Amino acid sequence: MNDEGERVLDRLFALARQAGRDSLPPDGGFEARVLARIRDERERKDAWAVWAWRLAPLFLVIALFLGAWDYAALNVPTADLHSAITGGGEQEQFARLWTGE
Amino acid sequence: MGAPDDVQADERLIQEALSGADDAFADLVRRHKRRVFAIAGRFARDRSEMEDLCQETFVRAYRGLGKYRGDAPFEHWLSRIAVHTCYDALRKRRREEGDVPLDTVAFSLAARPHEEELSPERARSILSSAMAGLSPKERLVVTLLELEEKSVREVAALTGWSEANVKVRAHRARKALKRILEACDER
Repeated sequence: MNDEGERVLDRLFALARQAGRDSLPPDGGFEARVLARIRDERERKDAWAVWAWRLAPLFLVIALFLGAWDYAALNVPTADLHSAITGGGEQEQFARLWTGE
Repeated sequence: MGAPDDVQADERLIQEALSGADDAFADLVRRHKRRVFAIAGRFARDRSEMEDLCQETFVRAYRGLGKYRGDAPFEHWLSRIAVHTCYDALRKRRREEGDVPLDTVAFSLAARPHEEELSPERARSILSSAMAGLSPKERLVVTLLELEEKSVREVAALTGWSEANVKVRAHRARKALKRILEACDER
């Protein structure tokens, strides 16, 4: 069915192109429906932005609290004398390595 | 469409729409909906789906209006969006319905009338059933090339694929369609 297949296919396409199509736009209201969808989308987007602004102070407070907590946790004096000495030594060695001293 | 006056009118409406005038965008929709409906009509199963596809095309166009550079006429840019929207719908349909087995397609075509007795409407319906067995990409390319009678270059511009890619996909699509029709003839 090679050449025959091509011919049948071409004939089907040619006939299908002649078939009437119901692709005319509706008489009215289409533009209004498109604009309604756009406005709806815009309002939803605006609602998200409003909530993000409303929640911004809360996020700021949380960030400040976490920062303060982290800072306080770093400055707790260690009870372990050995780790306090070697920890300091490691930091010093690291600084020497990077500065090339 | 495409005349210098139309292009200028489109550009003016785009600028107004970008500055927030919804009426200007409504005018753009009014001016170009016929072309968008013509494209969607080739892919939609019914009028309701056709309207959905057209609405989606214009909503996407509105979202991307700021990216329109004006180096090609607005209607070409809009046609590309319409084609991509239809392609996405074909992919979604394929995901929902899964691969259509060749047997099912062949069965629905088995009772087709003899070639001489074929009416255009029947030919369209046969092709539509046979095309259900194609992948969304093949279906898109065969619709644009064979039914819309676009050139390979035009299809490449509309889809964003290379011309070689369009040719390869068209070749595969025709081969698959022939296989489907052969399968139904053997029944």
